[in-house]
Amino acid sequence: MKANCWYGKRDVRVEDVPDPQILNARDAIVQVTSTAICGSDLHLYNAFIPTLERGDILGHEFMGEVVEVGAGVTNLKVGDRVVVPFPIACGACTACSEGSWSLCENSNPNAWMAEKLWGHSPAGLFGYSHMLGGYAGGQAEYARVPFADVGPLKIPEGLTDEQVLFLSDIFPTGYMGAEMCSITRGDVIAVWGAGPVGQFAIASAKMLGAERVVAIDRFPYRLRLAEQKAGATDTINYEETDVYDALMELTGGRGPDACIDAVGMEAHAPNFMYGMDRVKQSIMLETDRPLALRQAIRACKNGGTISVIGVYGGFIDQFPMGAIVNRSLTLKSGQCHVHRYLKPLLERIQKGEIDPSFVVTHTLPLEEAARGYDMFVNKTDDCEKVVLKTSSAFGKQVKRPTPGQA
Amino acid sequence: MRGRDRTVTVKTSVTIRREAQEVYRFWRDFSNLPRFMQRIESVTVNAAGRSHWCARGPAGAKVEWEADIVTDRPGDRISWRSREDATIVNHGAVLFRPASRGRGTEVHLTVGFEPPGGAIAAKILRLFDAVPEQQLKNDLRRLKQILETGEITRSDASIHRGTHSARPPAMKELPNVEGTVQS
Ligand SMILES: NC(=O)c1ccc[n+]([C@@H]2O[C@H](COP(=O)([O-])OP(=O)(O)OC[C@H]3O[C@@H](n4cnc5c(N)ncnc54)[C@H](O)[C@@H]3O)[C@@H](O)[C@H]2O)c1
Ligand SMILES: [Zn+2]
Ligand SMILES: [Zn+2]
Repeated sequence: MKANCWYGKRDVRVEDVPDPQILNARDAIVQVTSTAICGSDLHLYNAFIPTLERGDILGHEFMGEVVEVGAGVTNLKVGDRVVVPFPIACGACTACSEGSWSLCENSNPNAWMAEKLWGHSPAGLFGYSHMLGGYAGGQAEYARVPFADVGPLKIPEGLTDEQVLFLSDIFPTGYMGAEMCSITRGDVIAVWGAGPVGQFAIASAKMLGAERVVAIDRFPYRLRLAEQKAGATDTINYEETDVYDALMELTGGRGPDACIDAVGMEAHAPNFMYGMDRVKQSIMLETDRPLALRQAIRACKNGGTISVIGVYGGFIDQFPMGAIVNRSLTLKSGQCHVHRYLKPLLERIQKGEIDPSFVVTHTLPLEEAARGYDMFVNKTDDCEKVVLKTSSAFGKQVKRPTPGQA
Repeated sequence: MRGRDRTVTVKTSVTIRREAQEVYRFWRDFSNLPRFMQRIESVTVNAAGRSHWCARGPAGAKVEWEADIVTDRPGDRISWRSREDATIVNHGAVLFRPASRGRGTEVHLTVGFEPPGGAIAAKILRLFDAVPEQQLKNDLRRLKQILETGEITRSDASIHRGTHSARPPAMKELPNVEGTVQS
């Protein structure tokens, strides 16, 4: 099959690789129709996440048709159309039973690696380094889905791939980001980053009753999308305006009730700190640049909440702990517990409360993954979200070689 | 940990969402141990209850010994000790304790051995990876996977010995033994 493989910093290539096989009884093989490139993939693309190997298949946002199920999978059958959540979860451990799916205790065969870096291991993820499992990703014609009796969501007729694909990650992630803000009617929520994750955080904050939602970014086309489609009431271009001042102006000096960091470890800023953080990052004094996070903490109202859905991998410097303690701030975070949100968010899509396809700006064949990454990382051609289509999406049935010929 | 009596002791633990009796029963059948203990190739038990252990290290070093059960308290603990004439004098104990809030059972494993010195000692140390704690902890994690999910969790990379890119194995690379193969 064809798959998008990582070969080093800003080097991905679509190659021919063996087809996936059932390795555990609870596996299913999905023939991918649509798969997306995520901001999280950019952290891999830019080589900020350790324990990637040359040749790793990337991708964790994908959907398609079930073509094979293991003996232990009874709830899915060949031909089912499914969306697959990006965290791999067993459904049987304590974390899963408590709804903390992205903390599954059994899905990371390389748990010891993550344990070394973070103290404990979270769940394994598709296409996201060896420390998070060493699983092949979904930017491919086929994907093996472990614990397929737990994760995949069956999609009812009448919805396009673009409407449901983002249930795999960014819609639930944005939603969880807003949910962690414990929004009550009348709240003002500020969202750093108007990428796809930020857009869904904005839309979700509105759905959950926020009165004002402020989008912060530097790309006018992304801020426009936030305002016109996601429902942001205000936008701040941080290259033109001082973010802190603008937020105080918008909130009568109180600061937002909650702040969402939808930027993560590769934040950018047009000032001296950015240079400092880039230098530190390059010599590994810190691994992540927390510029948006620092700003969010500074601006948040006393007693407010900082909801961090942007991904961080390692260590940050100059963390304003003083503000958190002295101003009674609450910091909440996590890789999204996607499984929790699948059904309720699918219902919202079916009821027409939201059409997640609004973020898609580019649809390319899988073979052009490298071009997609390049546009998405450089934000060229007003790129917001890239969806990759395999040939099976165009109705062309790709023949699976019979096992043994792979 | 290396005591004054030259005994090397390694401890580790894991919490498994299963009743203590169930975990105990699985462990008490020593023939299950090789399913999750990476360095143990086989354990066979004779009619008298004496077990014969066969272990292999990362470099292929093979060591065998006989052991007797010392304590056997169903649902609570099992301990064993090699016979005095074993090439490596070793012992192990596993305790099953209920975890708080109904989170299943804490499994506490202690393994100790006395390196006899000289060439044999070197051979024995080669049974373990650089960090024996790590190895035993990984063993307990595999036990948890079996008891909670029914199988050892496999990924595209973890089925291979050593580093391998995360992409599906070619047919000839498909594993035929249970569990992950790490070097
Ligand atoms: N927690 C989760 O489960 C989860 C899931 C998916 C993605 N993510 C993370 O969410 C983050 C965003 O993903 P995305 O797909 O939207 O990526 P993206 O790169 O498209 O968006 C990031 C946006 O942040 C903006 N930005 C950079 N520096 C900024 C700053 N200082 N202030 C304000 N905005 C700034 C960029 O201009 C860009 O528009 C990534 O870190 C990604 O890894 C987390
Ligand atoms: Zn993603
Ligand atoms: Zn689990």
